[in-house]
Amino acid sequence: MAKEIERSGIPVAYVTTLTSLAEEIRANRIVAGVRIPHPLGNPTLTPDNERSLRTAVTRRALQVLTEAVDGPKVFQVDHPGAH
Amino acid sequence: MPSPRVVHYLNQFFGGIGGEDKADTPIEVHLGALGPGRGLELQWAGAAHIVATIVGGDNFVATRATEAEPAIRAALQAHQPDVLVAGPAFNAGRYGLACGVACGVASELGIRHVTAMAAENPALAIYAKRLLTVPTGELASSMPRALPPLARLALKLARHEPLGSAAEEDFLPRGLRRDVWHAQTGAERAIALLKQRLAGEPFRSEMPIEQFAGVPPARALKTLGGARLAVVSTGGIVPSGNPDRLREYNSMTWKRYPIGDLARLEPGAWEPIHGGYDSTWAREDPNRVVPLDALRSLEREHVFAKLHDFYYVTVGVGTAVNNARRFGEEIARELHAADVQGVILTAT
Repeated sequence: MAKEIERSGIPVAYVTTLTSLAEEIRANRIVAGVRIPHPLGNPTLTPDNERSLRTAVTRRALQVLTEAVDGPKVFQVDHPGAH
Repeated sequence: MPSPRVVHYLNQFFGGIGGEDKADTPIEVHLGALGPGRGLELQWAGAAHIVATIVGGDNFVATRATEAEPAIRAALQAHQPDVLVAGPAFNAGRYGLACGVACGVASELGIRHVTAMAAENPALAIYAKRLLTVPTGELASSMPRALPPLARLALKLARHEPLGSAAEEDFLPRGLRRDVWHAQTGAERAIALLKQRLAGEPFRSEMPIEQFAGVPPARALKTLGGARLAVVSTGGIVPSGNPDRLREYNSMTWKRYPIGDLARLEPGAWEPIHGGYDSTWAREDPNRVVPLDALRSLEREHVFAKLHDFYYVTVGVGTAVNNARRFGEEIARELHAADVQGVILTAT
């Protein structure tokens, strides 16, 4: 789906935990999610810290839309609780 | 057992009527074999014979199928073949389509059919799954190589013999799967395959993995500040109760839901219906899969201009690639109509 939206000219920030799969399928802007059942969350953190993590990953994903890429590229997010 | 009866479908050129100038010729039926059909009969050496040859102009059949089909049907019903052979069409797209049409009619009548064309023939983009296709070269000059495998497969079908896999019988894979018994377990075969690969020996995958083509990256947004963005997800977060009955796996469709006046996805108002991941944490807080709360907070901060009023959702697990492509195309159309400039797509 991400590729077809991209093909139509709209950049897509694809947030997924399975980044190597995303690379193989050749999605372009791939943002590393936290875990499969909660790509934008981490239930081991306190609610405030989790919100802060989610905002950081989302902010990174949006920034990625402004970055030129030549092909599949994985963007990691550096934030407590992201891994 | 009487020798099997074959009907052969050819285009206007191979049927000896003429070239491109005769491509509008309607369906004609001739008794016996014509052109390449005689080559098939030589292969069969009396084991089968062509009782009739249906000849159709490529333009006529490819573009006026509603008129061609009844004529093809009448010919097949009149001659009652054990098998219909169509082509070889090599790389000719309209001829390939016409073969697809002819085989489609045979299929409706319960008559077995086989065709032959180059693997790159555009007709296969439409017909691959519905046709039994012997791969050929691209040029008609490869006819001598094309006829023996076509004749062999046609004879097997005409005799109602069971067919093996695409690899065993040399036809193009149709993506169909049948369960078969192996003498060795999957574990034993996997280890044997691994040993071959480690030793650098030739090996053969039981199931070749599809290679995916890339897509040119869409141009990056110059700035985020003025951008209208949308959120899409394959994580299956839907309004509680799944009012539109989205499937939990093998999606056939996508849905859009209004989020224009929502600050976040309220637990209890939204639920995960995705059959492919442990939904405990998503149920507790759906924003962990669709980060609406974070997007709103970034919107308030003016990191970007506006979040599109609709959120798009489907379920990723077990969903056919072709369907996923279609969803992407359809959602893209809506996004373009709404002047959305960037997308965050979350997956589980």
